[in-house]
Amino acid sequence: MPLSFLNPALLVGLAAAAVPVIIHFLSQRRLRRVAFSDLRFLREEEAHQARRRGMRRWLLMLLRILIIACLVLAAARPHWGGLPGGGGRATLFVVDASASMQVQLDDGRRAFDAAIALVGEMMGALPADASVQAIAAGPQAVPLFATWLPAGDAARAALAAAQVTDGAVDLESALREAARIATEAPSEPVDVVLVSDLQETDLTALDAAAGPLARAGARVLVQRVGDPVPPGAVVGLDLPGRALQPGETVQVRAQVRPDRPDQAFWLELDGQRVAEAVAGSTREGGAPVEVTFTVTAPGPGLHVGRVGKEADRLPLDDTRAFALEVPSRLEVVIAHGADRDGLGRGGWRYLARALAPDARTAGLFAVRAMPVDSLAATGLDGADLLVLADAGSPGRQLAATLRPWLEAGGAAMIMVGDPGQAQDLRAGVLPLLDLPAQARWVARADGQAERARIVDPGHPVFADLGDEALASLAAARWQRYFAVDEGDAGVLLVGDGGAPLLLEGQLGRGRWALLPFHLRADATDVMLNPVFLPVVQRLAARLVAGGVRAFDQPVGEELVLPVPAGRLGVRPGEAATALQVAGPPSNTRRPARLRWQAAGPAVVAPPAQHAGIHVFTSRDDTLGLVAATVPPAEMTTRRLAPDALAGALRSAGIDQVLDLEQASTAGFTRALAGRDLARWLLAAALVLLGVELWVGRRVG
Amino acid sequence: MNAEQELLTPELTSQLDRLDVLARLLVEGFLTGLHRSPYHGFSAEFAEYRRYQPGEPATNIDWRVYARSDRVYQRVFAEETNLRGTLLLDCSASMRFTGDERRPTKLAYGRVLAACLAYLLLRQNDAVGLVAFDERPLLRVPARSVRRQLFQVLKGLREAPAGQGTDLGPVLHDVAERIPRRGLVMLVSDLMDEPDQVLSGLKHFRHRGHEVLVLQILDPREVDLDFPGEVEFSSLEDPSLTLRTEPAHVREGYRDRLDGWRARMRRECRRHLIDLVELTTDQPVGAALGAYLMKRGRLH
Repeated sequence: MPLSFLNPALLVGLAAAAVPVIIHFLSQRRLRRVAFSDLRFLREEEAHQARRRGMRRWLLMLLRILIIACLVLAAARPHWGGLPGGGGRATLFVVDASASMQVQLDDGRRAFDAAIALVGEMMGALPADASVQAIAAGPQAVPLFATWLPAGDAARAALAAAQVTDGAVDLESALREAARIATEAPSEPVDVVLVSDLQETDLTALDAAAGPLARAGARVLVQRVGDPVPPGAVVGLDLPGRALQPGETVQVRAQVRPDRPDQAFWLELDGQRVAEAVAGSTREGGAPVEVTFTVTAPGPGLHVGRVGKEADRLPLDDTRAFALEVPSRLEVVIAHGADRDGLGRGGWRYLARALAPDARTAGLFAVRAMPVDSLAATGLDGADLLVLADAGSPGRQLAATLRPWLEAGGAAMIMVGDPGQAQDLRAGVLPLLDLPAQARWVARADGQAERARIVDPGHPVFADLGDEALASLAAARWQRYFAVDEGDAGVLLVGDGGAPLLLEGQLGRGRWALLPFHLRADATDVMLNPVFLPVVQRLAARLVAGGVRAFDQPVGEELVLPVPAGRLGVRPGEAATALQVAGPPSNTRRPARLRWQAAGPAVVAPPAQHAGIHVFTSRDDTLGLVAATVPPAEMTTRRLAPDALAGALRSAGIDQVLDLEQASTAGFTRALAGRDLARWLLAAALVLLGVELWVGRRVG
Repeated sequence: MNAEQELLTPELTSQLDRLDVLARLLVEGFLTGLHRSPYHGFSAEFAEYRRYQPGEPATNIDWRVYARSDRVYQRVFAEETNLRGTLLLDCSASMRFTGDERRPTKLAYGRVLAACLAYLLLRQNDAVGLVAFDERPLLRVPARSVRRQLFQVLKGLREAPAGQGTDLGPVLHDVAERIPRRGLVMLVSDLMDEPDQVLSGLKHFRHRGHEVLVLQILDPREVDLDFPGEVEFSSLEDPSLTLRTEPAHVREGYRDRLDGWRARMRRECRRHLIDLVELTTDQPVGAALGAYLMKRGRLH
């Protein structure tokens, strides 16, 4: 009901409205009887005005009733609208501190600054005895005051500590935190004022978050501020999914949303603008379009880059940073079975030549080849990639011990093509790779050799090779191989018979590839195909890199940088000291810690609040870079209607949800206390009194 | 206490004793008295000295006073004649009204007033009679000038019954026909009747050669209708007639109507040379009577 009273107890005074009626009837009971000399003039006068006076008497009584009712109602302090019993005695402001609140408004301020200013004005409009608290709601909900404060200058000054983040608002955690703080409020009920740009978000999970708030008896007021996010943005970035070789030309694809057709986007690497691409046209509904940059891989080391466009009113999403780690040299250990007929085993020599074609020049790969028996002595320390080529029974024994190394970030390329090793494959290799322990030997006659098909030409192994080169791969033939079940693994090549010929998968942090054939002429002629060499190199680079060493994490999430344990000089379970992370906005250093997990060690830092490159360091080394990026949710140009959020909150159990229609202090106070009707009632009483006097004089 | 003592208090008597009762009218009569007469030379009596005003005839200047005091005074004479006065006392029910228990009813007030007039007249050796009436004559005391007449008049005033309705016109016509000689007719009444009938009766007296003095008595509350709250009025003359009203609401209109009525009575009386004296029961009887007689004295 929109009508409420601050002093409802005074409404009993409405009974006083009956006083004129009582007086009317009492006056009739106290009728005085007078024996008069002559009624002639009285009767004439009475006849003259009896009817008119009768009506006026009833009118007078009505006016007096109304006057009393108006005065009593005014004393009860009626308010139209607002919260029941008024509001604002304990007010908790939840200010959206997400990235979209950095939209620049027409007056030059950011929406967040305008929101903070508005909250300050709202605090100033609260009653003198009100208490306030505020939460900056970004990826985490951060209370701005240590405790509830009186709504005075101190509270308004403390608002200056509020910081906007580059992350997405977590409405659920904000509401939970609000519920927690509401329980500490000095008085009830608590009015929660949500000040936000109300970017579109998923409201389905609101029920659980709003429940505690509803139980705390809080009322919610929704205040929309700011402008919608402008459409232009760099939404996503696809870096080559493999380790890059310095000088290699690669293509970087970015998902962008241009402001206008034919808008230019650029790519910076290490501060130099190295590529440009044009987004042809915008898409219906603001869906991203893809642009491709052709980039030459930089030299070995850590690199930072940005993809961007000219800034609009939200510059934050107009650039997107990335970090790139280019390895200087990848150590490859080829462990092969005993050579047979002096021709080697499984074609390991071909592989060695494929990865390091010229041993005299420093390429990406440094290859060491040894019999698998020797591997136990040398170990895998320092090896980035292990290639097992027809390793046989020793390889089977090795596989049993290989799992921890793989899970910690190792890489393995396993090639099994000798029918005599079927049991080694089933009992050793396939269980290691979490594949079904089933392998069927397939041997085709010469005329029945199978062709292979590339499952995904866009896969990093095949990307950028060109359609003609890839088409040539289809000419290769396979006659002898193991048909295995791919399970959950990815299939890169598949034969005519449907059996996978090249599989890849992940084990912990490590990657593996399985070639269920070996590189002998009686098994396949793929070695003769010119495109096979780069495929092998790329496959090895992809396995070693664990994808690309470009870590892209949304702002608001924990920053995680996987690192080789040996690099930190600690053993599993031990803690590393002096780990730090530095990042935007002012390269402030924050402590990081080492987390041991199944996939190996990682350096972990608290969630970043700002987008950009964050640098992990140990005491005397740079461990790596992580690019914190604006969450895609903050780039959406759509906004929630305030009543949509209000409806969701109501359905979540919060009875009182008000939409503050306008960003104004008056609107806020009206929403809290409603429109004060007391003065109108007093004015009405005065007018009625004037009418009563006028009518009374006419009657008298 | 006899009737005379009941009606005429010593206070009232002493007030009237200081005044000369000067009848305005010239009537034919046999007795000389204090009243000036149109018949000059029949009898004259010194009345008072008055300062001589330039332009007046020097006939009456008292030269002896002038010799003694060096001031010019003239002697004023009043010729005396006999006056036959008839007091008409309205005893109708409306005369029983009083708006305040501390004040007399109009009838009681009228009785005192009539007694005063009778006293004054008899003191001048005039003849005075009494007719008490309501819708009809209730009591008659023939006019005589003997000393004992005062007792008779006062007795009549005391014994006059309180009547019922009012029908002034026929009663006045009746009385006018029954008064054998011209004289002074003094009507003590509230005149609460149809004005045309009342005036018709009064004109009848004039037609018969009488001088008419109307003493209209009203209660102050009849004039101002000052009753608080809601009142149910009932008519004294017809108790079956009632009226329920709030006097505050009808007061203004009532006063207008009353004033109109009184103005008409004044106008008509003046037109027919009838003296109308309006009195209310909150005015002292002696003061009111004295004021009237003083005014008559200045006029004649």
